[in-house]
Amino acid sequence: MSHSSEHKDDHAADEHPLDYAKTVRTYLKVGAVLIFFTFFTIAVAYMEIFDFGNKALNIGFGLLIATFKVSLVCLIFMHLNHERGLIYKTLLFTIVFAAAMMFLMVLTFNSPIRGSLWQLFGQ
Amino acid sequence: MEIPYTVKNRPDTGLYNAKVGIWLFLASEVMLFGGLFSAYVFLRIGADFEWPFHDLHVVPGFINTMVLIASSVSVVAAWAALKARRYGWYKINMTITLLAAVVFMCLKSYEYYQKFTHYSITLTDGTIIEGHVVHADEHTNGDEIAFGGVKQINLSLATSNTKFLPELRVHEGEAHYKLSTAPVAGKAWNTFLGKDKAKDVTITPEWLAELKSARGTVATAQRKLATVQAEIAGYEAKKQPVPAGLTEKAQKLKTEFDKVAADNPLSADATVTIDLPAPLQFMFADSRVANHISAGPENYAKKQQDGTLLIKLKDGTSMVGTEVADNIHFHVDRIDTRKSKDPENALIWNYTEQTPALKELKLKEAFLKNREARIAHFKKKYAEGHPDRAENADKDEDCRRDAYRLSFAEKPRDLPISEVNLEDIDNSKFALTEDQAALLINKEHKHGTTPYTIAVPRADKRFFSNFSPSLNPFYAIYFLMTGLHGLHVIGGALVLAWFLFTGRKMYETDPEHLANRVEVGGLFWHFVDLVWIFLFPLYYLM
Repeated sequence: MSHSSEHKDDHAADEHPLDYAKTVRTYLKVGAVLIFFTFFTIAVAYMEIFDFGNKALNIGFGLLIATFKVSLVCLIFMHLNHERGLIYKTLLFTIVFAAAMMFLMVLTFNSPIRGSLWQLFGQ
Repeated sequence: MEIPYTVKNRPDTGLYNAKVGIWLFLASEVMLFGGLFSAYVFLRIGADFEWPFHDLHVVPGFINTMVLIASSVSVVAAWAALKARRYGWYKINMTITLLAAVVFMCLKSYEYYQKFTHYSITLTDGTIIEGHVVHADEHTNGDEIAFGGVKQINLSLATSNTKFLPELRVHEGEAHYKLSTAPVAGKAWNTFLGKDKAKDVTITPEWLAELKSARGTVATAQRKLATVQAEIAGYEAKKQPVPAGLTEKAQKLKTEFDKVAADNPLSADATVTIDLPAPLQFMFADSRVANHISAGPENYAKKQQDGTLLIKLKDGTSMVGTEVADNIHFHVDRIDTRKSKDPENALIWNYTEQTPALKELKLKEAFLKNREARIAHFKKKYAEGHPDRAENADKDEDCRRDAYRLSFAEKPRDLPISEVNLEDIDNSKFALTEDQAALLINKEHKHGTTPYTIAVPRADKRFFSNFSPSLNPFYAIYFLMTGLHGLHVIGGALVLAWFLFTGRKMYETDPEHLANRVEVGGLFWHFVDLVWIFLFPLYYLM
């Protein structure tokens, strides 16, 4: 996870001036991919071929695409593809806490009164 | 004092300090929005109403998604330009980012405006009608109560607002005016003065202010006197001698009070009655009435022995009269009978019958045909892949949305009426007349000018709200999350604007420092983008 020594001066120094045109081309390509997947999300919501007969599947699929888009933003635009260990550690804690918070929801819905979460999704 | 490690990395973290700071901040932001997203899931799963689906217009949300993606590219390109020491490109990219923020907020404001001016009425039978409140005529707002035959107004001086009564509108035949612009004359009296000593007055804000001020003077004198009298009573209760000074003080205050009360005879009593020379008809919004939440005059007014109604307004002013009209004039763009107890005999059909143009269009018939055709369509659609769904098509959520709702402002999503009209579905002809079809798919309606305007008696209303957080939990969480997101856009844009407009000097002295600042601002901006990447499908699409 941590890339400590080989990118030591990656952030601070001017010794390796950045190739602006090349970098921006990469960002533009990522932007284009994000736009493409935005269209794709709309298609999943509206087009009949994506009607899986269960809306929960469409929501899940849509969120999966959103997660992919978010990953691209994080990795490329926010440079998480080559960051320092401290940031990954911080984010690991965040993810664990966020996941625990979502898990509380599952606990709440898996009750004798409400029935299971999956039943509710099925409705 | 110089802040350390703004450019060079700290040896122990391997990062400059601001970067550690922004990531810690973003981690807390993830928790904040994570909590709100989990609240959204809770509300959606536990909803006891039809969760609005495709209720928000996709186009503005879609454009905003594009705009935010473009701004994410431009802000990271601005950082890259600084790293490459190309200040010109930095300025261009940062300007694009800021313009994107402005476009985003303009579209968001447009969406909010559309929602805040759009209304929903839940009728007592469960039917929901959506549309716009329109002017009943050129002088009357669409949701006002006409209260006539008012011969007497009672003012509660302690609570009355000097502008409240004068701002009420009077409608008498052809005359339409406000008391503040055309003050009405009357005779004012109170129990202290007696009716036989009524004074000629005109109801103006100035007169009311004078009266309230006089009441204040009398009330103050009375309070001072009462305090001392209570003190004396205390001594007497304990059977202790009353200090001589105190008795004297009480006498002095009594004299003062009598003088003040004599100078202000009309205000000694907190209630003043005004007898009007002729009965007047007032118009007021139900929000001006004290008990406006409940529908119907039996809830907002008290019936008198002679059959008239005593209505109490928000500031304590009350008047006796009769209800002349209490309808909400509503331009309907959607009728939703999914929660109606009996959709075929829903209250809404009574109103459409009373509107000649709508009666002619046989809206109820159109509704029934539409329902039949859509259920048939869904049965056919599901027949192959989902036989269970086909069998229970009339209970299927997607089918019910199209079958039990009539949308006038937009084409139904699944099956445009214009196509249905030409097709033979399961041998049931969906034979709408041309006028009916035109009504149902007419997109270019203008509020208040088409035959969709109906009058809904307020007594038939169970809930009435614009599309604001008060409408239902969907809109509550929608406005909360998009509003919070919008504030992030504004905050982020202000910081980036600061870097753009004041960055030149820093660029010349320490370009790497400016690059780091922009990187930190950019990280926040990307976070704003990625929150929207989740918000857009959840609220607009799914």
